Amino acid sequence: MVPATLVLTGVDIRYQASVDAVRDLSLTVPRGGIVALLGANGAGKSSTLNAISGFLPLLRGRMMAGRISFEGEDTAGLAPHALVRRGVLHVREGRHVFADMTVEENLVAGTFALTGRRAVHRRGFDEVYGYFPILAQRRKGQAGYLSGGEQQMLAIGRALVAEPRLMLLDEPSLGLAPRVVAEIFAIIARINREKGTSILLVEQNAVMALGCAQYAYVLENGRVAAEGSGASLAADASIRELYLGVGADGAARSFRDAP
Amino acid sequence: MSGLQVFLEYTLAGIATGGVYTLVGLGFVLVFKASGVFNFAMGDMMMAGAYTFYLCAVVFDLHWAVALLIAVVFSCALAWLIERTVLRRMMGQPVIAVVMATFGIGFVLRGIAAIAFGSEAYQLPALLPRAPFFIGDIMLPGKSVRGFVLTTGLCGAIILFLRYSRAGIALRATAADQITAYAMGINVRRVFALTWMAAAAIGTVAGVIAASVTSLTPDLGTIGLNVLGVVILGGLNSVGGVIVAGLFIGWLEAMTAAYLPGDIREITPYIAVLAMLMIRPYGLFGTRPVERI
Repeated sequence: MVPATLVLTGVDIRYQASVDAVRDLSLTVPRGGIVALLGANGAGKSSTLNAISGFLPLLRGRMMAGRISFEGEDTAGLAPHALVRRGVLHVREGRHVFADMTVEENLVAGTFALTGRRAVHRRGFDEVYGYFPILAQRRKGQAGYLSGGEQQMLAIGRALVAEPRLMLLDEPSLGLAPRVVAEIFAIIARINREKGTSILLVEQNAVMALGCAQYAYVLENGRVAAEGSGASLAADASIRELYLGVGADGAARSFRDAP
Repeated sequence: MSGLQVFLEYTLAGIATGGVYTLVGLGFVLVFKASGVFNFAMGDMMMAGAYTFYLCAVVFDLHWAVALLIAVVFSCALAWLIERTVLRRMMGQPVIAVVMATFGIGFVLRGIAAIAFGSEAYQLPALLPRAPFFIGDIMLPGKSVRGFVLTTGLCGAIILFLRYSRAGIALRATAADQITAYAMGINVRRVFALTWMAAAAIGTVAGVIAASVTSLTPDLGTIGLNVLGVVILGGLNSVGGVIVAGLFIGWLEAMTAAYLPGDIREITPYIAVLAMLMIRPYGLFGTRPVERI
């Protein structure tokens, strides 16, 4: 049996002791696998990623219960930069490139993730530029002037510099043209295949996500409402209705009501 | 003296004072950029550095360069201690609470200096030779010229550091977006500590220059109030802005001293700041609202 990269068991997340964002969530990302986390706005997808990457305390959130283990070690409570240095890279929703810096300076910022893992020196970033040739052309340009797709590429490339073992991708398709989305997903699949990087992918674009994920979880109001292989979820009638936009009546339904 | 010579001499003296403002202002801006905290103890950290220099250079009779080095190291250690014992505990508190804490730190430093050294004014040894410079027939005071060269060099070094060094990139990343900086693996808290130490080091140099131009008292830190105007004029988060604004305010003060009567000099910078804020509320080069003060 291949050991899992990431295991969440019974995770509860709460913000400022008021709203429950996530309740009793358990999920597994197998080594070298791509797992998708689907669901509507506010279902708890980003909260889950923030718990894994240690951002919750910075966002006034707390993990009330449950365990998070990365490569067999309990990592809940570690500082975000410490997690990054172990190889857990979170590519946040909305890209968040450093707009005032050049493309290359953004990549240099990414090298801080290598602290303590091996000697850090200014490399040529050939690997990143290999996956994203457009970034090589723009390397001296300000990141703020890149297109949305290029900024997303830079955000992923910046994580790639850190030699990630697990990448948490939050909405990489957000606000991008379909052609660009397809291009980015193809590169994500290539990175996973060629480098063996495990990926947990949060997406609203369920078609794209289920297309490249081996396994997927559907969150609703902070709970897992459905899970299964990418193909089986894509074939499921109620999933199709709620997330793929191919329903018959179009009325919103809860998965817990489903037969 | 001819009119031109008066103008040039006062201009140069003003720019030399402005250089000190610029340095102290840079200390403010570095800390503000990184952590969003307005450090009201900056002027007093500068004073503490200057006293350390006095102790080393006069009491222990060390060479001025050695004394300056020791003073810089000491004030860095002091800043590190302050960051560790006071500010780190206040993480997550409202910014205004942290700002109030910096006020308190300033008072404590001033109090310690007053107890240890009394309130009398000490003269620092001339850090820089006084031999005058000549441009044609115009004689320029050596201390001002050399002070200006020193501050320019230091400002240049800081800009190059921020622009090209890896640590500079970490600082800019932290300033731009703390959470994303964490996501890069940058130890944001260490960046905070480093900016405090850098601010203290810069402040020490500024303090020694300022005290050698005038004299050293526990109130040397009140220069921080003038610098408050400088950083607001330049924009709280703008390194370029604080350099321009520092030199400008210094020059403006010198001009009022040369051409206007008496005490107007004291209030001129504030009038300039007030006028500027009416036109550009975020300062000359600032980009974010100054709500955080």
